Amino acid sequence: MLNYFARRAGIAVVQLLGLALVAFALIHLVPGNPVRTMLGARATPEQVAAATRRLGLDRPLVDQFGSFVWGLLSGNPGQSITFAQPIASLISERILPSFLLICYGLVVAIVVGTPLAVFSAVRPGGAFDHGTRLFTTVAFAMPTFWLGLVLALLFGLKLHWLPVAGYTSGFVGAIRSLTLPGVVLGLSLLVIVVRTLRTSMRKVLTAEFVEAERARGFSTFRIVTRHVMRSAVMPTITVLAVNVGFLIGGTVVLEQVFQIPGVGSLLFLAVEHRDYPVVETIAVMAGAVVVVLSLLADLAQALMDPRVRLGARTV
Amino acid sequence: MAPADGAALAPRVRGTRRFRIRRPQVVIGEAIVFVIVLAAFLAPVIAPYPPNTVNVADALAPPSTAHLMGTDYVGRDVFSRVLYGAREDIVVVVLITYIGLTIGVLVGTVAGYFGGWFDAIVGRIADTAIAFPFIVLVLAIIAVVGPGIEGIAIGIIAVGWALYARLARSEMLSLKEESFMLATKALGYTHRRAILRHALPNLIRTCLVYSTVDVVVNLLVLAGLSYLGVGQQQPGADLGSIIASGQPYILTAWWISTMPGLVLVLFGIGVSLIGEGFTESELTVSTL
Repeated sequence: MLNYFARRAGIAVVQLLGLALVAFALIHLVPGNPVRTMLGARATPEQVAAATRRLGLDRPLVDQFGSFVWGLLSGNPGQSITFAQPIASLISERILPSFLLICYGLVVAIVVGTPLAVFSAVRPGGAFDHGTRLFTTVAFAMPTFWLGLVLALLFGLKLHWLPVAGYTSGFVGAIRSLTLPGVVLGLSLLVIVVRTLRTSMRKVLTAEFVEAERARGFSTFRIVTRHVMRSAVMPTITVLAVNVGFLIGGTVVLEQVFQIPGVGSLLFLAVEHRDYPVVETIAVMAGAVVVVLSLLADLAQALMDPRVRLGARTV
Repeated sequence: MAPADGAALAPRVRGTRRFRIRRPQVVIGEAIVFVIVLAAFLAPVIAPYPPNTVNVADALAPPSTAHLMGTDYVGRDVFSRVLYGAREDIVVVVLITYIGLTIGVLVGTVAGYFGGWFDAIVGRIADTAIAFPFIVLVLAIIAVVGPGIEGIAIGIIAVGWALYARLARSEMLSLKEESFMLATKALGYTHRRAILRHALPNLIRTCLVYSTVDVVVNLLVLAGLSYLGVGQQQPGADLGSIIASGQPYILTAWWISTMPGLVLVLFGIGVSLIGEGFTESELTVSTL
């Protein structure tokens, strides 16, 4: 058990270091002078030299990488160039809407996806199963930004039910302003939830213990809710944890569409202004969330299912 | 040919037979994709107007027989722009997806075949590439190379190869135990021959099936980033940027944004239907 944990955590640490290295290399090893690109063509050589010194870009690369990693670890990744503000406070101001949006998307995907998956798994090949498959395929093929636009047109501009853009804090305000993007985000994730849950439920439903329960005369409802769901939920959680990167990507786009002041739109602003320190930090943070969540999902699975930790290498 | 090759081909033959019973959804998917791809590639022939010709007198005209999808705010024909835009998107997406597939499959196959330190290094690099949320990495690359298709392509390939490398590696690991792969060793075939002639044909199929999903995902990423203004730059047309250009007029001229979106959705559905048909027959084969 400990052995597995240690190995799995070791991989996560390597991944995190890799993330930092890639983000760092992207910006420091690119051809051309990042400072020049950042300041624009009209910058004088003195300005470029001053900015280079201020950002520490004149120090040896190993040194720079060390202080970059240290900055991330100590929660003080430095100063933003465009916003003239510490990156840490920039991000912490904007993290809440992004976090809530991701949660909203997850809730929508689970609340809509679970019944769809359960009913299609109980009667595979039936009309409901086919309908669900068609629905999730369509939902998957919808570009999130386009669906967001269409829903905003319908519910915001025509029906005036929900705000079209922006973010209001407070419980009701947040719910109202995050509903449209949350639904769109959830729908894009739906296909993953439904397929994984349906597949793992099918696997359990054909197991011998289910047949034994049927023979005892238990209702399908009881079998599904009491026994099948319990064993089928875990793979879905793992898949969701792994796909949190997909959710983060969706948030970046949707925050832009609905003009929500979250980390995604901050990343976008930073890219537009070539604010490299901010881009670096957000990229590593986003990657770290994915790494940590999939680590937790794997550990949880190992705790619950001894086959994982006793089996051969799974990673 | 050694009998070993017959064994290697056996599952493929079964798969092929299975495919003669064509599922209606695959046929529908193929029809959708075929029509869109054909229309896109015949854009110069079909398009009633040049895609970038401005005609202010005709601006914001609703769909009609003269303008099938209406015109935009400077009177450009939306249908013509969509045709050209779809062509551009499809070419770019297919190229980047299959460049990623080629790199990934080769690297993954070699890693799985030889194992050892090469496998370990490839595995860790792939882990790192996959850990980055796709769009975030692509945006970071765009921050460096500047807006345009270039940055998007580099980003998608940088992540895409890793998925195929993992897939090909795990397929290779199970193939290695098959008797026909052991036979290539016993017969003294070179590694190159064993990998390219015997392992690759057997594992490429899984990767191709996965690539159908990947094409849709990449198309959505590409269109999304173009919509957000970091992809194709004006006046060039691609579906995402056409949608973005119609957004300010969405209340008065809904067609500018809606029509290219529908084409995207249809194409995505078509490709997913084909992909699903694949995976289902795949499942049937493996459970037989």
